[in-house]
Amino acid sequence: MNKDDIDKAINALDKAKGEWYRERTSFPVDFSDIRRWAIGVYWPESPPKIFVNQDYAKKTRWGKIIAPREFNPFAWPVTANESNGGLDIGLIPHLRSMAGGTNDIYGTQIYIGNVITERSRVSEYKLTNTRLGQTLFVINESEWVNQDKELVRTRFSTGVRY
Amino acid sequence: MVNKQLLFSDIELGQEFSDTYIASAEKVQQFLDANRTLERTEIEDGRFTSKEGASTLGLEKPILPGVMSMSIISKLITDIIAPNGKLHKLDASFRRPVFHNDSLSLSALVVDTVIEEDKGIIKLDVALENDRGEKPLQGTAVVELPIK
Repeated sequence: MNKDDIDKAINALDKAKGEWYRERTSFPVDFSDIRRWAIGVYWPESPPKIFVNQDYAKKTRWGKIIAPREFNPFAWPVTANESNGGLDIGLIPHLRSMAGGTNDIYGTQIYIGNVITERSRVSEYKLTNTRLGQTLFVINESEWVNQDKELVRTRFSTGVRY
Repeated sequence: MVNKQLLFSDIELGQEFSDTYIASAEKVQQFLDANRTLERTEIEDGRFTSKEGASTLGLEKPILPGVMSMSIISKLITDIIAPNGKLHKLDASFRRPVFHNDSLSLSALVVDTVIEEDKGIIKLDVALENDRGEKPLQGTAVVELPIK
């Protein structure tokens, strides 16, 4: 990473830090979305009934179908531009990137009919020397809330840029 | 692995849950198709789909997206706690790449059990281990299981 790239990256990160820079809203989550997701994840085994059987789900503590925790309500966008999620590569171009880790904090479940809104921001960053040379560790915070403004998930993703 | 409902009292310190997963190129492509959020990274260097793309990062083979590794371990936890348990936190570090066709052992080790505010809280050390004995993903999870 040369000095120009570092200066540009730090400048972009300083401007972006703490500012919510992207917001998007999902389509309403359909039973079929959850059912197909669960079938796909567990294939060729049968998925847990909590994801696919409404009569069974009524008897659980949730009282209705829930989505698996890794369910992504923003999956299958028509174009990639609609799905500009995760670390914003465009914010600091010309640097190689690797995923460093993820910290998820979960709130309420995702139920049928929920509309999820996501927003993201640069939470913090650190420039340090590693065996890769000067390396940026950028923590991106991505928040999901439902239509009642209840927290569904906060994800802190660490991006390693060098 | 789809289990019957576990209760807090069923869990013992040191208990380990496990599963296996083969990260085939086909599964990676399916994940990328559903999760087009990764396209910008993929367009940049092709690290998830081609040997040439991976070589730009000094890697010998294409790799799995980090969030796919998270999803794999998330499924293991879901299998342990479903249907009435709840995943509160999942914190994972990506220590090494997972390569296409790696044969992975998934594990979740119970390291703490505590009742907090009438909730049965279980703390787990989670990991993916490849057949070379390396652990590309290591982390912790906090889950809740029904007390009764």
